[in-house]
Amino acid sequence: MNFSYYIVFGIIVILAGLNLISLYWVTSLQKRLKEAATARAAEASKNPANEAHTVLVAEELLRLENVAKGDIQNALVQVSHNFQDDLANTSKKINTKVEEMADKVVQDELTKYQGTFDELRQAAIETLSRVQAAIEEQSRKKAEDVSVLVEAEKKKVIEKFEQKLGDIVAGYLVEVLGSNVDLGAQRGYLFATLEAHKDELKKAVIDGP
Amino acid sequence: MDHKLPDHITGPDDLQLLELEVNRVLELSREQALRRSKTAKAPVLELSPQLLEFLDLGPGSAIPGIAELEELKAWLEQARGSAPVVHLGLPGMPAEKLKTEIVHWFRQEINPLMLLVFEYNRGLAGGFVIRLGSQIYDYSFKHALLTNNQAMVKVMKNV
Repeated sequence: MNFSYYIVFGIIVILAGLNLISLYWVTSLQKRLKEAATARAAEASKNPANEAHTVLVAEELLRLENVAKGDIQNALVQVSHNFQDDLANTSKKINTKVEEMADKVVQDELTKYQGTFDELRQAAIETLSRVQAAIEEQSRKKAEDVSVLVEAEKKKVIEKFEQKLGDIVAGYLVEVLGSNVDLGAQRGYLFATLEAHKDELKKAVIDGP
Repeated sequence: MDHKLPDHITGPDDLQLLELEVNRVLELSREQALRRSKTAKAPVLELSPQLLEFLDLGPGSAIPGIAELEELKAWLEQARGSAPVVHLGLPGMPAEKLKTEIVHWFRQEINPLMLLVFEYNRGLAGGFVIRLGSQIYDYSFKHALLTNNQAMVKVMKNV
């Protein structure tokens, strides 16, 4: 955007320069005409015989001066008009150029903005996806943990219940059997069990307490 | 001389009693020997049925000599120090016959010097528990019921 300002400023400076040059040229032209008229008048005054001729020359000079003034005014007007036209054209072109540049700059900026926005959006989408995946993973793990915990707790409760149930039944049987033990009836079981674990007992005796 | 513990000598207490009796007999025999050399009156020695059985003597048999008694005393001391002791927990106190059968089995199958201490534990419901030093072998009904409670639950579920 700053670059366009530089261009406009440069063009204005150039046009101002051209204007100054035109003025200088007009002024120097007027000065030369005046010098030429003065020279001719001086030459006429050197020759008194030609006094009538001198008056004529003075009139001529006056006329010429007027003509020159008119020419100069015309030239100035023309130059001014030209300058105005040039300035208008230049201004128009500058405006057009500035608009084009502004459009281009805005377009570029928009493109850049769009690109940045796309990148940001993509990054946000990726981040969001990662966060979502992490949350899902976390949720899955939590669900698994909870499931495992629930399963373990369930198993524990069942085991406890069965243990209690077993204890109750065993306690009942022990209570009932305890008061009616007939060791004679258990003789067979006793010796059979001893026979079955004979080697184990022998080893225990050999190994010592 | 090779000795063998009779089956009615079941535990360390019985063995100690036997040892005490042997000591007593030995002392009396020594005293008798001493008196015999000085006076005609000597103390009368009466041996318990356990000692008689241990010595494999019938009633009225001649009492072993001092040397034999000393040898017997040494053997008993050694047996008391080296005999393995088993504590047998039962749901009721066994009859004498069953007790001697159990002792006989242990001395026949496990160790000839085995000493048994019978313990009464009503909570066992049936079967027995053997404690040998720090090791316990539980063959009681209670243990079987408690360790197999899953099977019991399974059976109950099928009812």
